[in-house]
Amino acid sequence: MSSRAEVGGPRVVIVGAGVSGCACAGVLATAGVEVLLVSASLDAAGMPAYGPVVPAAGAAGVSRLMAAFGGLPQDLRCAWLADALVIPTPQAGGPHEGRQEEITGSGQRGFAGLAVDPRAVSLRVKWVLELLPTLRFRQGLATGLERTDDGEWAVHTAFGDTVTGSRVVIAVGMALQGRLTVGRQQMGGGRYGEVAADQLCASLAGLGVPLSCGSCDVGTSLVGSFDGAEAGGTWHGWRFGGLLPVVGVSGFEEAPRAEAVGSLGQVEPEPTEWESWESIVAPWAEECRRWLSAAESAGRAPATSLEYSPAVRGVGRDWLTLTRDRRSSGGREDGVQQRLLVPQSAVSAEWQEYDVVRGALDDCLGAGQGVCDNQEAAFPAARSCAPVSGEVEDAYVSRLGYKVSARIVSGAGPAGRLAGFPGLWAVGRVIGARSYAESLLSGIEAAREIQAELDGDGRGEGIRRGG
Amino acid sequence: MAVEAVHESMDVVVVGGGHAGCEAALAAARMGCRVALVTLSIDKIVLMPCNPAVGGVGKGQLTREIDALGGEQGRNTDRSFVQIKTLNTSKGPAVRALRAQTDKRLYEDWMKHTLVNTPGLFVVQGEVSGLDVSRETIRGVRLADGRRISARAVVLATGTFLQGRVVVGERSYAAGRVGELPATRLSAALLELGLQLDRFQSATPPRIDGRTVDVTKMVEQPGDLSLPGFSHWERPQPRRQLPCYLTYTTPHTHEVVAAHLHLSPIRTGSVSGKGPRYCPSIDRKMINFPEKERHPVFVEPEGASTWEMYLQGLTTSLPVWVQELIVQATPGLEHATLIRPGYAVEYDFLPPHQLSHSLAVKGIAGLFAAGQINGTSGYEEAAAQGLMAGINAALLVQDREPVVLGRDQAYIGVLIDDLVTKEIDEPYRMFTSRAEYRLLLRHDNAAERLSEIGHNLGLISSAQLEQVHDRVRMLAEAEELLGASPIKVGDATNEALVARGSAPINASQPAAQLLRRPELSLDDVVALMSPHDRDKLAALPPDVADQLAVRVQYDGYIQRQLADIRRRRATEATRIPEHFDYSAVTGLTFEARQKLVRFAPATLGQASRIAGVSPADISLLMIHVHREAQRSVSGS
Repeated sequence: MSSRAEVGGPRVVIVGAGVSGCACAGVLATAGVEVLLVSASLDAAGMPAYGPVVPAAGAAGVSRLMAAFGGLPQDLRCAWLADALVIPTPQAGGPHEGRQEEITGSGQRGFAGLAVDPRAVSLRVKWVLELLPTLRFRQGLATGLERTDDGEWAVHTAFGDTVTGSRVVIAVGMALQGRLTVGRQQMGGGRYGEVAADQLCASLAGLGVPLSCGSCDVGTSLVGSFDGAEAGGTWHGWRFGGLLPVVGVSGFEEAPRAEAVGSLGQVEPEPTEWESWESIVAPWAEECRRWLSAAESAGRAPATSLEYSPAVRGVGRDWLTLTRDRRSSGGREDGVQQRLLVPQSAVSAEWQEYDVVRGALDDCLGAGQGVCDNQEAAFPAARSCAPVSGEVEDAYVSRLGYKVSARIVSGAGPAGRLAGFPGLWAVGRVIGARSYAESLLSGIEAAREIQAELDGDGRGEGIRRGG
Repeated sequence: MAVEAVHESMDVVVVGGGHAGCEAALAAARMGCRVALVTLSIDKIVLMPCNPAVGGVGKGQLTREIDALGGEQGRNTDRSFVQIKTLNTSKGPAVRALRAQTDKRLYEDWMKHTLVNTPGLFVVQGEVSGLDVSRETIRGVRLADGRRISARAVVLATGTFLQGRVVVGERSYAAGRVGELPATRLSAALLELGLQLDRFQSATPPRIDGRTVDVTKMVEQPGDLSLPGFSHWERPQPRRQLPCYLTYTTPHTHEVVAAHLHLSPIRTGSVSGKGPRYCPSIDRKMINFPEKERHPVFVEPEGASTWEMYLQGLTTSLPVWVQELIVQATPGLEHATLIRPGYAVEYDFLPPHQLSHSLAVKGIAGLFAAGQINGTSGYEEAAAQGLMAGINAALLVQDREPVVLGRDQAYIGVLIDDLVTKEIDEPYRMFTSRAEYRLLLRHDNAAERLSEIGHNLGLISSAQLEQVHDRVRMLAEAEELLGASPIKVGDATNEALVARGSAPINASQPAAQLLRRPELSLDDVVALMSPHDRDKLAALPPDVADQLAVRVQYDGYIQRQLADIRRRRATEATRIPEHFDYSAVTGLTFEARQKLVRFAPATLGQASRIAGVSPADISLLMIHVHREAQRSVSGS
């Protein structure tokens, strides 16, 4: 075990180890900046907690997705994509041909988004970050934020721990006074089963950080083995690399410089040359395969028996299923609801359902963002938890869909800079990102800005880089 | 509302997805029940929130027994360990046991995979907020989200989540584990049913960044190359094992702890529940063992895909900055950085005198409890109870008699008997010293002891049982051969004996007799046998050969324990009638009477193990019980 590079220089404290926090931390630490990543729930660090779908509806969605993954350091990108599944639009000649407009909300043929295994992503992202010499993790529920006398920021945690940094990035997702509504239950938390950051929220409010309100929906999860023929049809997806456990990587290639990334939410659709999803993901897929095989042959690869067995590996990975649910429409044929079932986990045979006809996949993740005055306002009941349809008898609901609402930091400037609070940043859902791609982008952009700022600060002083 | 009717027809509901809950749900489902496993978070199923290890002395025997009965823990461990070894190979067979370091994430993944692929088992995310009970019989559970699930049996396996609170220094917040929401409503429901709850606490050491550890100052602890496994039914797949590292605290470490003891939750009173004496925090060690100059600290990997490492021996819930000082005052950890601070967790438990030997809650038909809610600590203890509670829940649904293992049958029997007949005033942990017949309850013979029972329950297949029978036959034949095969007097033989430090023989004698000489191993003796017999024994698998040696070498002790069991069996089996009137037994001490009423033992054997009940009290009881039995016979 090599000893860590001596730490020093400006430290960035990132509060929250979700999608945006990990992206921000990864970009900074890959550039050698000393980063402390504070997480209330390290076991879920790096987890895309709102389901497996990374949507890319429409040309803007595709561009955003490409910018997000293109902007990540290579190892993080591979950690996300190594076993991703492409969600294509319906097959030509299949029962749903001609409905791609309706389903993806895009005029583009071929590509609706990606499905990832949230658990596998979490495991790999954390491992990749752990390998970065200037990045450290610290478990702690952030309870307060304070400006210190020497102009730094101090983050306090519920266990009385205090960490300081010249920059603090708030990346707590939906945890600021987060409230989940599951059926008739309302519980605290930004993600299911976790503790909400109510005290941090109060602390931000006390500092005068403007807060508004937002919410999002998370789909129901089902367990079952779906037979496409019996259900509404099967979409065959396409896998990137094949599921492998996380393995060590000996060295890190230079992070590829991203193409120009527009501000969050304002990504201009690029003049697309791609005809289908293959042209988008094929280069990444190739990269993932190389990454995985390099990792396998590298230093601290886990023992071979730690690979998932073929039996585990095969579960529910290679296809998506489209089902029809007549129940919700009272049996009327015209009201038949289409749902897309996306495999959620390689190990658990869980699937998450998306209502594909109602709108683009984007909406499923980001719907309902807006201002609400009354936090306790009644939320609509969770979506039906009845098994998908009579045609899929053996499926059952493992997790109810839920709505999560929380305080949102409003008025964050470009790249998440909080105007009037020098050194304070916010990224991801906490400033209104509505999808994984937006969260990733948000984290990446903030990291770049912070890095530029630190380079400015450090001119003459020099930022020490880990090696 | 549709949500109310979804799982209306379960046979068994298991509340909690930890080590106890998973075993309970799997056992009941494999016995043919429709089972819902309700967990607060599907992403945290069978999490290992404390040490990344399964087994150890006493605990390892439990895991072997779970496996022999058709449980999952052994197999799941074998599939996910990063290191395994046999402990105490140089000591007596009763204390030999397996211990594995696991990859925590892989352990979870395998268990989840097994759960969702078990027919009849439904994994449901939700918080159980209430129990439906009518006429002292469980009818089902209510979930906080509005769903109701009916069931004929419910197994409570809530771990540390009932009113859980995590504590560091003087700080605390409500959580079942750090960062996770506790179960806030079920406690009230249990109290409403007239059950008594108490508080316990448990604590976990800090995790550190493995890259900041200087292992050159530590002793490397590798696994066994022979790659033994817990499971009787599948061999562990080959893998590269990861080492642990051993270091020791120093007087300097102790000074740091002592200087900050006033900040410990033990001293400040911010933890009120009682903690495990046998797994003391470093704060507690300073108070209880001030004379010790050093305590061992094992630095253990938390998995193959993480740099996090666990510090066994440095459990503490002192303030985080003090934890950092303590860790860094330990050789090899001078530059270690904390990833997760250690913390204590305090939670409600159900004092287990309220349970019967089937782990059923007395007074509420169909309600069972297993694991940490019963006041135990440890994954193995939890899994063992979960298995038995799941089995007995399924048996209840099927209108069959419960299965209760005896103290002479299994550590599981010792564990449950201790829980329901003894005052549990600290979290209970298994040790071999808790078993009277530990030479019989070895890790090598678990299948012989228990697989027949597992088979009768439908948890062990005929093929598996046949495998056990084959092994038993093989052992018996080998033992017979050792008893019959003569070692003849000869120069070569005596030279070999002398070379081993053993006395030469002057008359031919059976191989078995020579093997009883403590200085000789099975290999030594086999080498002296005739080539024909030698070949037969050489073909034995290593684990069978080990067991053979134990059986022959310890035959005298084993026979003595068996005789003891036979002698006690009469007392053990004598049933005390339900609602027996202890006040009618004149001469019982006040304390004995009070305890007997409280624990309501089912047999004289159970009564004899209750603290405060003396042999004299048992003699008195025996007379009364027999008199009552005769009276009821003559009266009928």
